[in-house]
Amino acid sequence: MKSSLRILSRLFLLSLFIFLTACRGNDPQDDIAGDLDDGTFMPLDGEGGGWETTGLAERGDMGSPVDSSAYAPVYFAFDSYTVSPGEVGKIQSLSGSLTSNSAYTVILQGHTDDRGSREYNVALGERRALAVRELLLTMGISADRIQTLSMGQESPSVAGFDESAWSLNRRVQFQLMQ
Amino acid sequence: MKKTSLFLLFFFIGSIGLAQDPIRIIKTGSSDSRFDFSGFSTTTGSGGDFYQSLRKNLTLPSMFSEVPPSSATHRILGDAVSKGSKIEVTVQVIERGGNQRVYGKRFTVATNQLEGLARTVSDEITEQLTKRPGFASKRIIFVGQRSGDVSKDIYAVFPDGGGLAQLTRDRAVVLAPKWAPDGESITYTSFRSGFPDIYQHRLNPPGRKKISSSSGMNSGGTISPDGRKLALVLSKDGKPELYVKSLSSGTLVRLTNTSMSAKSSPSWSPDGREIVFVSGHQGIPNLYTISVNGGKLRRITRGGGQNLSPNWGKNGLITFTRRRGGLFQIAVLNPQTSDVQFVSPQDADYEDPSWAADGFHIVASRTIRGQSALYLLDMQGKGAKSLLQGQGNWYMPNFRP
Repeated sequence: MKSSLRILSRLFLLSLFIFLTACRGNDPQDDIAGDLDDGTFMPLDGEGGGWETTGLAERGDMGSPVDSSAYAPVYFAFDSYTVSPGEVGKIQSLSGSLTSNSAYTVILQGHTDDRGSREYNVALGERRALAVRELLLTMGISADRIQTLSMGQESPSVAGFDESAWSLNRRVQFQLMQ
Repeated sequence: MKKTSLFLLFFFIGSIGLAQDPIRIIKTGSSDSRFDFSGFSTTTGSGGDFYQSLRKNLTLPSMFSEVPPSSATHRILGDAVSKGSKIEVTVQVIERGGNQRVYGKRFTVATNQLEGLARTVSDEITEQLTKRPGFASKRIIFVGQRSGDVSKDIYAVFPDGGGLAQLTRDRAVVLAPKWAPDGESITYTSFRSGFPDIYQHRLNPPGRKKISSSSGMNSGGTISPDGRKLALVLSKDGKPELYVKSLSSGTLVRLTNTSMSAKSSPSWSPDGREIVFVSGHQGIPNLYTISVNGGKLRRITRGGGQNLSPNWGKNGLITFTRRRGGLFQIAVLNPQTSDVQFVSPQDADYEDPSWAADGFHIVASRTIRGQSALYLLDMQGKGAKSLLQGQGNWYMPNFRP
């Protein structure tokens, strides 16, 4: 009962993410430039009223990397850590691989573009990786098969100082391990 | 201390009551001394290194100005003479008018110690004349990436731009080096293991240990004023939150519990009772304070764009980065009154400020088109002086306390 409630609440949050993402539209906000949180659209929680989360598993021995080049990164919108509906399929495909290969674990590598504070960007990249992790958990993947690793802005996939580069750098990559 | 608070009081009264020209008030509170250096007789040769270095440090922006003898308030006298393999240095500072000697010392040092001696003497003269600590001998640590090299490491430099040294050789991503309050060790986040872990690095004798390697992210490690605790941001519980860890027992206490959001950059209040940090849980990143015992968050930045990388000075003021008008700027916030004053020029992005020991100067990185350099700013906000520029990217500076 409790776990189905948990799943229901996760599904609710997922739909909230999607709804809010859809609501964002093109609403230019003068001061909100850079690769930022979009927590403006999140509920403002009271003191101590944090969300229930599942803790990360111990890193332990993660084995060796498995060729993961077939898995496309999950890209994020400017100023966002929410997984857009169009990107969810990539996570479903990863979930499928994890389900059919029980020896696989995955490292979710979070990245940001190079605008803003380097230190805050590490936290933002981690948050993106955790957002993907939350979806994997709702898809039934066990928490002990998932690790997160944020590189912040330190490991761009494309060099450049324009949106075409930035949009490819705001991503979560999958590294399967065995 | 009393003088400092009085000076700060003047500054904030000045910034409210005399919005047009708060700077004049600061200047009155700092130093109006003008130096005539022509009485120092050794200006060339190896002894001249002392003179050049002393002059450079005393005339950093918003320190003292160099003027012709007729308009000087103080004369610098002395020389640097060879005595065997050593050099004997004599320095005096004479107040013009009363001819009172306000500083006078003699040293015997090796030639390779002359620059270091000049920084020490500069600090002693500064303290004598301004009653504020000098910072010439305080090393700045920062992250460096040499031109043509993808790897990053921690370096150190003196505020006069001399003494550049490399501290780590990990060739791994490294972030946010911070001095421990005792100046004996530094903490930083390194990816040398593949994951972002926090290390404490002792300088002498050299050694280091991993002090936080939880699953997920370990970042922002900074040691409390009493040297006993580490403030840090961890994601091990499934979302980034602020924690305090005992350095002796390893006991970990979580201070925050907000909605899933990015958090970073904790900095301790001078009395060690509060921590200021960045959180995005209410939208764009803002600065919040929390008691070291937990409890309510207090948001201390309002309006403006992103508010990032706070550094809480011993003067009680918080310097931080605010995005304004499309640029990252360095601001100073009084957490009691919430007054904010901008201190960086608007010619580039300035980020990651750190207070100098005098509570008046600030070091920050300045970035144009991805090229970062270290600059010295001050509360007068009149300009920025390059400390280290070119041959690489230099950023995230932290001033030795």
